[in-house]
Amino acid sequence: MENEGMIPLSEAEIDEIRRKALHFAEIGLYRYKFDGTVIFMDQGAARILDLTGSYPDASAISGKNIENLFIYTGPRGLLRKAIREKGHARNLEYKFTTLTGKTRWAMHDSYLERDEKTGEEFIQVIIKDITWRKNAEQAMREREEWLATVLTSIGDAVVATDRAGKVRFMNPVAEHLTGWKSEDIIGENFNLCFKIINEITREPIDNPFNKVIETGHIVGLANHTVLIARDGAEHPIVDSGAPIRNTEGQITGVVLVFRDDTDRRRSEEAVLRSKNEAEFYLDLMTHDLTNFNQINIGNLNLLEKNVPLNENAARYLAKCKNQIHKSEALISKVKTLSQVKNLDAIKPVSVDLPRLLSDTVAMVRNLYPNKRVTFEMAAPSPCIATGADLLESVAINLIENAVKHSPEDAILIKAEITDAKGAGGAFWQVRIEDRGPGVPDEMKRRIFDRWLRHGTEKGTGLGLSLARAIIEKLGGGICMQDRVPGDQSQGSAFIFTIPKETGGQLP
Amino acid sequence: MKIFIVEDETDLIEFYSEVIRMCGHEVMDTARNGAEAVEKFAAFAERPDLIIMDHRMPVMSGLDATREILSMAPGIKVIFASADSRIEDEARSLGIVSFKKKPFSLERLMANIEKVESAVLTH
Repeated sequence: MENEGMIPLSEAEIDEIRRKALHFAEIGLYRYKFDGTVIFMDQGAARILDLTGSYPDASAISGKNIENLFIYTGPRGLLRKAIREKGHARNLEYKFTTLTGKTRWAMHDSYLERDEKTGEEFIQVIIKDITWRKNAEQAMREREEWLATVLTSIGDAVVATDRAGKVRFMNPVAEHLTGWKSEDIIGENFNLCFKIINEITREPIDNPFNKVIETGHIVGLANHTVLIARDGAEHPIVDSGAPIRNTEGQITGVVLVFRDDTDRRRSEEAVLRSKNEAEFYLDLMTHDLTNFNQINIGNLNLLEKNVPLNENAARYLAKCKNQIHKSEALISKVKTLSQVKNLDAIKPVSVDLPRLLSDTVAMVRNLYPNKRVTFEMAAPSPCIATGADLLESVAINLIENAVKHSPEDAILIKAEITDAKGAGGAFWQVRIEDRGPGVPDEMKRRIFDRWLRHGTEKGTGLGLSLARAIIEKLGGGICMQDRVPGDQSQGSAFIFTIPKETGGQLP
Repeated sequence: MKIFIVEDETDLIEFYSEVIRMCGHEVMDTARNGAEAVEKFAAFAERPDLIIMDHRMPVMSGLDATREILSMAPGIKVIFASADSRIEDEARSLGIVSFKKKPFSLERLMANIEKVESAVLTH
């Protein structure tokens, strides 16, 4: 026998075990008459009802009326009625206030007892303190209510499903977009309320729910997605779906968040339309202005050929021609600036920097035949940068500025190309110095601002801002300094950096 | 040389005509747009020695007109004159003899016409 040699426990010992177990489980016992008189209450019940302060010995509670031992504001008599009718009442949960003012929750299991000798009937109560569980439930309910309020209040549409795709939650924005009321869709399949198609092809698009369940990842919708509402209305939407996981990490559902994209698309289209219109007008204007310039320059040329001009007339004519060239330079710069705004339009090309500078000096010499331009350059060989055709505009601006602003007829321009410091060998540094009148300190900071002009020669005011825009688009930087630090009168030095050739990729 | 001018600006047609006469050549005909140019070219009993072609014109562009004319008469000499330098590569790929970016001087146009003339004479 397994229990051979063991001494059986006495009834008293078993009762003690029961008493300790009930104490541990926070369970108490009491019995009272139908008129409310307590016959017996154990220490556990006294503790649950918070009576141990007033009655350190629970046996002193006998004889008191149960209705005077705690405050219960709910309907009275229901328990007694149930006991009378059925002989028992199980799992009765109620809130009460103790005589010391504490709010507590208790659970009752009660049954009818009858004294076999006297026939008197009692109600036997097993009481358990469930205050902690009730408080936890209340906290959870509050959290759920809070979460539901948040999801209901947010501006995006939110639909949550279980793992099978049945809708568990839908907020008012989702109701508006799908055309379904929560009460009609909750418990139904999500597919019913979320019909999406491609805006262009009108083909149905795979429901993001399936993708989330398959991959277990957050997924976004493809572009051009249109949601077809219950009434057939179409809403362009953007959205994402994410798995809902339990504490073990298992997917228990999917939450879909989506938003009506109509307004954003409209404003994007409006911006694009304005941009296209602006480009169209710019194009139209520059084209027609160029044609006018062509007609004017052509006819001035014809005038020169056909009519002998005296000195004054020749000077007036030269001024007209000069203004036409300036107008053309302005058109060209405005066009270049509009191109620079769009980096995609810049095609990366290999640029031989020393050659670019030499060619530019040659071109500028042609533009200013009366100036004697000496050009000195120090550069490693080879010296190739990743630039763009627009880099030519930078070189022209810097070198033409040096020539234009020099009051002397003999002009020395020096260029030096070196490895840019601190760039890990990835950039060239190009320094172009002149011996012109220099730039006052107060103007140095603003020299690259648009419309700022300097010197007596009137340019378009766009050249240096254009140079900076181009260099920055190419990933470099540009600045200006005194050629001799601290002595503005010794001329200026323009320094820019440009990425070395890396195989045709802009940084 | 007989020169065909394709240009929608009246003042430019007059300027080109003046230059052509100064160079001792003849304006064979003019067209105001690409479609008219193609139509007239197809109907010419005698082909021009040179075409001065604008690009941006109503109905049909200079590029399209040049493409059609060169397919009818490969080797025909076309000086392309446009304010839009972005189309230079495409125009050159068609087989034009020169691309003039507007605005250009009378001397440069004359030099181009003379260059074509010497090429025509050499043939």
